[in-house]
Order: sequence, then C-alpha cells, then structure tokens
Amino acid sequence: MRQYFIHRLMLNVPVVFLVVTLVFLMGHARPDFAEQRAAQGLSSTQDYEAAIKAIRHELGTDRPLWEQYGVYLRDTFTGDFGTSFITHHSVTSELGDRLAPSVELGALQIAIALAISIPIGIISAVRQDSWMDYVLRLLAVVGLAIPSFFLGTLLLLFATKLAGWTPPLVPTAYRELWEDPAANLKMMLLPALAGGFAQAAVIMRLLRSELLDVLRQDYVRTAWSKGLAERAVVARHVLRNALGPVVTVLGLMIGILFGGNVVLESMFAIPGAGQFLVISLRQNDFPVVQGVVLIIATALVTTNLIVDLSYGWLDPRIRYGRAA
Amino acid sequence: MLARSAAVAAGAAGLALVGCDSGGDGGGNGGGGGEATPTAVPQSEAAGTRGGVYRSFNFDALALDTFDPHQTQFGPMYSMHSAVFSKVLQYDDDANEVMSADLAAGMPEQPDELTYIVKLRQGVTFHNSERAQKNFPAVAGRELTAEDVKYSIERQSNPDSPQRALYYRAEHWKTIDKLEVVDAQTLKITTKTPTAPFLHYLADRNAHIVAKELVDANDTMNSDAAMIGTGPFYLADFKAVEYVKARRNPDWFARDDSPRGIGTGRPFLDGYDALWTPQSDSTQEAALLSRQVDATGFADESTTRRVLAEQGGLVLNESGTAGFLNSRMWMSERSPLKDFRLRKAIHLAVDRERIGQQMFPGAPGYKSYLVVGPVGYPIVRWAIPQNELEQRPGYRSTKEGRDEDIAEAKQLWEAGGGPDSFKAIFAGVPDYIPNKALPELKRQMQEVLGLTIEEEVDPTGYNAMAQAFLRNANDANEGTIPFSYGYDNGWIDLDDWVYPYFHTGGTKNSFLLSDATLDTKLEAQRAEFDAGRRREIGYEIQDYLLESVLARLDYCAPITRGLAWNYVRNSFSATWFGSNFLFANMWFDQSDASYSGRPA
Amino acid sequence: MSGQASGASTIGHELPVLSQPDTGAGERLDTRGAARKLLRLAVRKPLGTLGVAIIAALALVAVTAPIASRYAPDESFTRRNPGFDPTSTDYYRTDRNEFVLDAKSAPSMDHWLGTDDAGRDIWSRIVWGTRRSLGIGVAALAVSLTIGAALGIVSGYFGGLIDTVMQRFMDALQAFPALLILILAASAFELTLRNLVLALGFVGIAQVSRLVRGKVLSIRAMPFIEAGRVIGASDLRLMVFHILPNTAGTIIVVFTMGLGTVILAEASLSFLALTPPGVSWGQMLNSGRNFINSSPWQAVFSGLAITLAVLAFNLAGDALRDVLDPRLRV
Repeated sequence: MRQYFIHRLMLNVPVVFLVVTLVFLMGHARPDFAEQRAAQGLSSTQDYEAAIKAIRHELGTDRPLWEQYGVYLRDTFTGDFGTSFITHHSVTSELGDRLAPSVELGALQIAIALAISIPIGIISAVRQDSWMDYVLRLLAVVGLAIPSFFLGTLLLLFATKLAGWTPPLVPTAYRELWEDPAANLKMMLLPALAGGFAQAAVIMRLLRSELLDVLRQDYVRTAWSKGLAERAVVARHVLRNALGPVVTVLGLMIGILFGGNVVLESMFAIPGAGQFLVISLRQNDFPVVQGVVLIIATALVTTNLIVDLSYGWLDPRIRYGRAA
Repeated sequence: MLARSAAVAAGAAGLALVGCDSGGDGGGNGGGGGEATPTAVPQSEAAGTRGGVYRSFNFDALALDTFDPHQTQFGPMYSMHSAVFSKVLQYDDDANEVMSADLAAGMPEQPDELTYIVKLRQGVTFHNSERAQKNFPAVAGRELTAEDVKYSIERQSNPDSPQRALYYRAEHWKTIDKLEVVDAQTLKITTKTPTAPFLHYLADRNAHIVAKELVDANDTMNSDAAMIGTGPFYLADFKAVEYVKARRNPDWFARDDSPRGIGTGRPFLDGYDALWTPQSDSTQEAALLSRQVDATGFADESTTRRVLAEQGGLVLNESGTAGFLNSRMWMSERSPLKDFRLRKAIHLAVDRERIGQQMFPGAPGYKSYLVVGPVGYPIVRWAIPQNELEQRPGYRSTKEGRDEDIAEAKQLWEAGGGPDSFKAIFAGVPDYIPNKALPELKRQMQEVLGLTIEEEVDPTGYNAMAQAFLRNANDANEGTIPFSYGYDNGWIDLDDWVYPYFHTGGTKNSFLLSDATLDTKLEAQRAEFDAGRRREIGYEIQDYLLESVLARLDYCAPITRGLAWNYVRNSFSATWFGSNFLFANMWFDQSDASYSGRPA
Repeated sequence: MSGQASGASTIGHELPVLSQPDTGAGERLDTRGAARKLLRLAVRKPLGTLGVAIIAALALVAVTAPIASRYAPDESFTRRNPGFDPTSTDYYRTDRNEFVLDAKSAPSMDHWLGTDDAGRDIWSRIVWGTRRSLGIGVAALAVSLTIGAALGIVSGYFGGLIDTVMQRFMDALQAFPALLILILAASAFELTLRNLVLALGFVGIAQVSRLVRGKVLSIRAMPFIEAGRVIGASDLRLMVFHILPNTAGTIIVVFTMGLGTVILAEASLSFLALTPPGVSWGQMLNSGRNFINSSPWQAVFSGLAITLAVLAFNLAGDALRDVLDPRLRV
C-alpha cells in the first residue's frame, strides 16, 4: 500500500510538470497582452509598436522566452504564481478569496446532485425497464442537456414572481460560510440547485449502469437467494460496490463545475473565480490563467489519487500492487 | 451602455472592447440629460438624511488595460477615475459643451489668444483616507498646487519617458509652449498657436490631475493603490469583475458650493458601489425591484418598458451614446478602395438603418440607436442636425431615397471598376458585430454591388485590426486589408472627432488620407475662437468628409437607457463613461414613497 | 476486467472495462449478427429507438437545410412600423422608418418558431444550426476517435513502458478541464471552424484512448491474438486487422455518446463567444437569454434544439452500449 502510494505519487510529478509546461506554452502561443492593451483605443497608428514595447517592458515579457520560462518554473514551484497583468495584484491574492465561493458552490452542487441522483439511480436500476425507469432516465438526460443558466433563470423567475422571495443578488452581499451561514446559503441556494440538477443527471446515469452491473454479480445473486430483503441487498452489497466509478466521476467534476459555473456565478453575483478567469483569458492575462489552471490541475491530480486509494475501501477485491 | 453590451457580450467576452458601449448604467453614469438642472432641495429635507450608498450594475469593475488615468483608453475605467480625480475644468453637459471650473477657482483668464491664467482653488487636498495614508503617506492629505497641474500635463508630453508612446492624449498638450508656475495657486499657460479647443483639453474626460508621488520609477501609476486624487469620492476598494467601492471624501474642496442651490455638504451620498453586471435581465430586474440596486440598465428595451409600466416609482434615464460603429477604409495606391467612387458606392449601398435595427433592437416607442455622421449625434453642439443628416445620400431611409442611393451606388461601382471581392476585418467584440453586423453587411454588399466580402474576425477585439492599420500606415505596399468594421470611442469636442482622424499628420489617420483642402479647414477650426464660426467650419468639414472624402464610414450609435428609483435625486444617463463626478450631486430622498423597503 | 486488470486501472482513473468480450470469440465483427442485434434492440429498447429516430430526423434536416429552412438564415424580415412618423423630431421615441425589423415576433405561419432579435427566422436558424452542430460534432469526433483509438490500441497492445508513458500523458491531458482547454485554444489560436473542430477533437482524445485501451487489454489476452502471434503476424497487422475490428463496438458507442457531449461543448463555447461566426445554437441561446422575459422564443427553441440533440445521442448511445458493449462506462 505504502509502496503503491509512493509509486503513484512519483508518477504525478511528470504529469504536473507537463501541465505546467503546456500552460506556459499555450500562454505564449499567441502573444500577447501588450498588443491587446496597445490596441484598446486604436489610438495612434504611428506609436503602436512603441506602445507595445513599453508595455512589454513594464510586464517583463520583453525578455527571451527561455528566461521567462525559467523564472516561471522557479516561481511556480515556490508557490508564486506571479502578478496579474491587469490588476497588478499577485495572482495568489486575486485567486485567494475567489476560490472559496467557487469551491463552495461546486461542493453544494455535488451534494445536491448526490442527494437527487442516488435514490433515483437506485430506483431506476432496481426497476430496470419499468415505466418509472424510463421516466427517470428521460428526466436525467433532459437534466444533462438543459443549460444550467436556463434552469437558473427559471428558478429565479419562480422565486421572485411566484414565491415572492428575492435572494441577495449583489456581490457585496456575499458573506463567507463561516462568517454568516444564513446569508451565504441564501445566495448559494438557486445556483446550487441549478447546477446540481445537471450534475445529478451525470451521476444518476453512471450509478444506474454500475448498479445494473453489480446486480448481475454472483455474490448479489447469492444474497438474493439467501432471502435477504431487497433494501438490505442494495444497501449492503450493491451500492457500496457501485460507488467506485461514481467517485471517479466526482473527481472529474471539479473541473467541469469550474468551467460550467461561470455564467451561474455571474448571474447570481457569487464572487467566484469564473468571471475573473474568463476576462483574464480574453485579455491574455496569462499569469492569472496559469495560476488557475495549475490550481485546478493540482486539485484534479490530488483528487484522482484519493479516488484511487478509496477504491480499496469501496471494493475490497482490489489490492494495490504493480499492475498486471 | 450596459444594456447593449450585455445583450451582446457572451459572458464576459464582450468586454474586451474598446469602449464597449458607453457609460451608462442608466441610473447615473455620466453626462447627458438630467444633470444640467439638478433638482433643488426641498426645505423640509434635513441634512444628514440624504446619505446612503448608491448601488448600480455596470462594467466599472473591469480593469482592462491600465489604472493609469493618463494612459487608459478603456471607458469603464474612466468612471472610477472621474469620481476620484479632479480636473482643472469639468463638463456640466458634454452634449452642448458646457464647462465649469473644477480645481480652478473660475474659468481661466485669457489675456490674449495664446495665454491662459489658471487660478486654482484654495485648500484643495488629496484624499486622506486610511488606504491613502497606508499606501502613499506623502500624498494623503497633502495640498494640491499649481506644480501638480504642471506635472500632470508635462508627464504626458515628456519625450524622455519610457512610456511616452502610451500617453494617448499627448497630442492635446503639443500646442503648449510654456507652463509657468506663478505661485502655488496660479499657473500661466502659453500656447504656440491659437488653440480653440484648449479649454476642452483641460476639461476632457481624462484630463486628470495627479500627484507626482503616485508615479513609479517606470513612469506608471498602474495600480488601484495609486488611485488617490482630490475628487468627491475616494477609492475604498476595487475588486476586479466584482465591484468598485467609492466613499465620500469629507474634505472635498467643492463640498459647500451648492451648485444651483442643491445644498451644501456634497457629496450627499456616503459613497457608491459600482457592481459588476450579472449580464442577465432577470437578475437585474429582481435586484432593482427588491432595491438591492438603486439603478440598472437592461439589455432588452422591452424589459425596460415593461418594468417601467408595471412598477411605480421608477424614473427612466436616457441619452445618446458617443461611442460609434464605423468602418475604416484604406486609400493607398495598392488599395482596391483608393478610387473615391468606390468608397462612395459602399457608403451609399450600406443600409445603416437596417444594421442599427439589427444590432440594437428597440421596443415600441423606444428607438435604441441613431445613425451617425462624422460627429456623433449626442454631441448636438457640433454634429450635423439629425433631421438634416437623415436627408443625406447614404442615410436616407425612405423608399425613394434608398432606391436612388442604391442605383447610384451600382453606377459608381461599375464606373470605378469595383473589384469582385476584398478582405475585411471585423472586431470580434461585442458579439453583435460578428453575429449580426457582419452577415448583414456582407449580404447588403452582395445584393447591391455584387461584392463578396471575405471576412476575418478578430477574436481579441481590436488587436488584429490595429496591426492591420499599422501595416497599412507604415508600409503602403504591405497593407492587405483595406476595410475594417468596429467600435470607436466617443469624443466631445469637434477637434477630437475630426482632426486626429483626417488631418494628414493626425494620430489616428490610418487611411493614408492627405487632403490639402481638408487640412486647411481642420486647422482653421482649431484656430477659430468664435464659437459660432467654429461650428460653421465644423459643418463644412463634415460636409466635405461626406461629399469628397469618405475615408471613415460612420454607421450608428446606440441609445443608452436605464431605470432608477425615484428616491435617487439627480440620477442621469451619460453619453460616455467618465461622468461619475456628477454623483456628488445625487442624493437619496428618504421621504420619497419609493424609498420604503430599501435594504440597508 | 477482472481482479488483475483492475489493478492496472487504478493507476489511472480510467473506467474499468471488463474482460469478457461480448463481440464474441469471432475474429471479425459479425456484421449480420450486429444487424440482428440492432433490430432486436429497436423492439426491446424503445428509448433508444426514439433516440435513433430523432437523430435520423436531425440528420435529414441537416442534409436538406437549404430546402428545409424555408428562408436564408441571415435574411431579416421587416414589417410596417405602427409608430411611423416621418415628421417627428423626437428621435429617441419615434421611429422615422416606415418599415422596421420584424424582430422578436411570436410563432406564426410565416415564421413557424417566430423571429429573433435581428428579425431573422428562428426555424431557419435552427435548421442551419443543426447542420453546423452535427457537422462540427462528427468532424470533431472523427479527430478524437482516429487519434484516440490509435493511441489506445498502441498503448494497450504493447503495454509496459510505452503504456505507462502514454497513460501519464493522458493523465496530463485529462488534468485540464475540457472547457478550459477549449477556452485556452480559442484564445491561443485563430477562431476558425477548422481550429474549433481540432480543439473539440483534441479534448476527446484522452477519454477515447482510455476506453479503447481498456478494451484492447481484454482483447489482447484472448487466444486468437496469441494464435496470430504464433503464425508470425506482425504487430501492426495484429493491431489493424485483429484488434481494431474488435474495438468497433466500443468505438460506435463512444461516437454516439460523444456527439452529444461535443454538441453541448460547442454550444457552451459559442455561448461564451469563443466560436467562429455563423449560425449556432449556443449563440442563439445566449442572445435569446436577454429577452427571455419578453420574447422567450429564441431562447426556448434553441435551448430545445440543444436538449433534443443531446438527448437523442444519449438515448441512442445508452441503447447501443447495452447491446454492443454493456460493460463500457461512458
């Protein structure tokens, strides 16, 4: 186990290195912020090149690429993601307080997704090919396909016009969860529901097919034949074994949520990282982009590691060792 | 205008534009209509009940190019600057070019055509906020003197600065011969030649006076920490794409001026929060109705119309937008458009009304764009009157007029030997340009002239376009893209609308235009101090541009609309970004019925 | 995969593919058998059949777009202006145009789904959008399948160091959220249809290669491959003629399911204005979002089109998976 862990960890080193380098190269594939800033007002045609030079000098992007790469690598591995071209604050401080709301929203969405999808997935699998299964699956696929902001719009209309309740809709109203849980959750409720529904569909479909697979296994048949109650069989034997791949998907969802919540965050004034990232991308503010991508990549790699290790708990048949 | 860009801007994408659309959050961002005659204060209204933090949705929290007030070209940035910094003079009404003194004690004395004696007010101090004390203790609370004014002007025209290419307003100050500090409150400016727009230069949207200590060794002040000025509000917090928090400057020099009797103790508001737009009409509507924001503009004019009809206690603010859509054409020997007949054919063939209607859909009774000539329609001081412009070839919308234009366009295109196709570059943002204007323009050109436009869309907004201009301008044999389509910033004074673009040596002359007749007229308006005569020359220039030049095809500009609660007194809508200093005249009327239910 | 193979699977996070190949022991894919299965499927899987029917309808619409659309997608319609007043000088209020765009109108006989905010026929735009979405989807999947399957087969067939290196590379690829890669690509390269297709295709490579590799791992262990080796068949021959055909089931399922994902991804990108100009569902949805309160047609119908297409490909994919490769986790 320990050996496996170390082995697994070592394998991640080149992965992270590759990601870091890839991000750097992408950032420099199409320069650059300086040109964009100089072009802002299409002001003076004569001075455009001089303007670009001055901006590059200010940002330090006039140095040779390898030198920039060296600085970037050194800084990155010491945890310094550089300074935003635009806001001139360190990327760490810009992202610092924006990550918490994004992560919280994502976590709430996953929680809601699980709350919806696990019972539905079970019902759908146990009653395979019944009308209930069809209806639930149809719902799931519709949920998968409906853009979450569309659902968000409908939820907001419903809340304000029919239920007579308006959530806080300005970014200054945001409070950290530990600071003022009620205010925080009021703001998070609608976007969490809107995003959670779509994720529920993903989990539900996966869970259903996993469950169907496990239900066909010998040991489940044995459990049935022992005359155990359906509920006991599903809860004790089937569900636990079917959850492995679901956990994997949860890991992948971190990334999906991050991308998908840009519009929801903006709509519901959640001061998360989404909008900031999109602006940074559009403006080629690459220190920020690099920082975000690295954080996400690290989070994903770590999650995958945890997920792999959790297989051991979820499916005792798996023993760690060198692969076959 | 928030509304237009939001309609447009896919997510954040539309923001990367040059002065996207305008300033207004409708509830008060700028010049335009209402501010010329602020409401007088009812006697009953006791001082101290006018305060509160004004909140509205807009794009102000976007830092896109630089915080430096002398270098930025990005509209939303002007808004914050205009609340924080002061200028020598200010515009009370940019549509009619009405100015008043800001830092100056009165309008400058002009003993002759070349000399301006600027007397500054006594007791002007830089913000003494906690933030200022922490970041720039030498500036916090320091008195502003004539040296600061001198420095702010010289900084932009310093040939030795590593940043010299980034002072986009340097052109304004080239006319200055001498800047003499007579005493702490007096500055004597001598110009080389008579310069009619000189007072405008002192009042223009970016003519901010900064303290030398805020500028670093590289000659930049590119950080929110350096946003320390002498204006009515100080910057309390800036969080990119979240909010700008500005708070009341209790030591503001003009606090007891009471312009038009609105009362002393300005700014009345405790401050304002400029909140990043959610870019969703449903969110904006819900936030406005629950009074979480005091004002907002909508992307969809029908929402504005419906909400106003359904909900009492709201005020509609509207104004024209100075930023405008145009095409630039390139006129070198190699350009397929060097022949005037061909440029005119395109000018006549374009259906401006159709393009405007597509990009800025209105609602019944809410027209949401107007066609523009060489000077934007909101600037009524200088623009060709709209009813006259709409009679001109290329602008006519009647069936007969349109048919005539089309027939003439075909004839000119034929006579000039127009090409079958050429390349054109379109701004990628806001996205109504690639999504609506582009296919429509292509269709019209195909239909009328049989011309195929091969489009290139610039996803960064204007980057590729600027490079194409540069190639065109620097090497007449290298230029390959003769036609562009995009937004341009809006200006105030006649000189800014025409001189930089169309003078042979103009800084924005990417057309390779060189016309002696035009140059003479452009120089003549610059030297003409008589406002009436200058206006006449301005009309002549515009006529000449439309009849004999047509280097830049001007299409249309949106109308900005927004709703504000009635309790916000003196709310207004602006022609362009950069009028937040007028927030000093706004206040909350707590006795107004609409005020009840406003959350703290 | 049984116990041993799942050890390998835990190194990456690819989803396990179990070892009994249900394409049968036959060396080639039995097409007649597959056809029979498909027929049986139609009866046994009503949802899948529904999905296939919708796909067929969408494909028909896409192919016949010039006819089915009724109007050109960029044609904007006008109507007489009720507030027409040529003499008015109240420019902000009255329209001095005799005709104005017939924008945001409700569904009618002339415009089955109404008109958009630029006065264009929504039905026509949905139809042309179908062509674009399906076209981009198929092209992008062709890219991910070609590269992904090749990498997966090589990786699974050779195993060992090659496999490890490749899988680490796939780890790195999957470490990026897909949308982030797409956004990065859109800002790093020119916005052309070709680049969009390549970017969308690129994003799918890692997953395809993992699924195919999993399948190959199970095929590799089967007797006929061993037999091929014994009679001296080259690696290339074995991979191309023996392993590839046996992954066909997996590939078909991945293709069908993937189309839904790609269509959704393209919609999200055009929603963020990161796709080249053209008629696109995502862009329609985005611009329709803003007047959803006053004139919901554009947002609703373009949203429905996306939903319907994704729904159809998912339903069909689910059913195909049940028949062709029931152990596949997509």
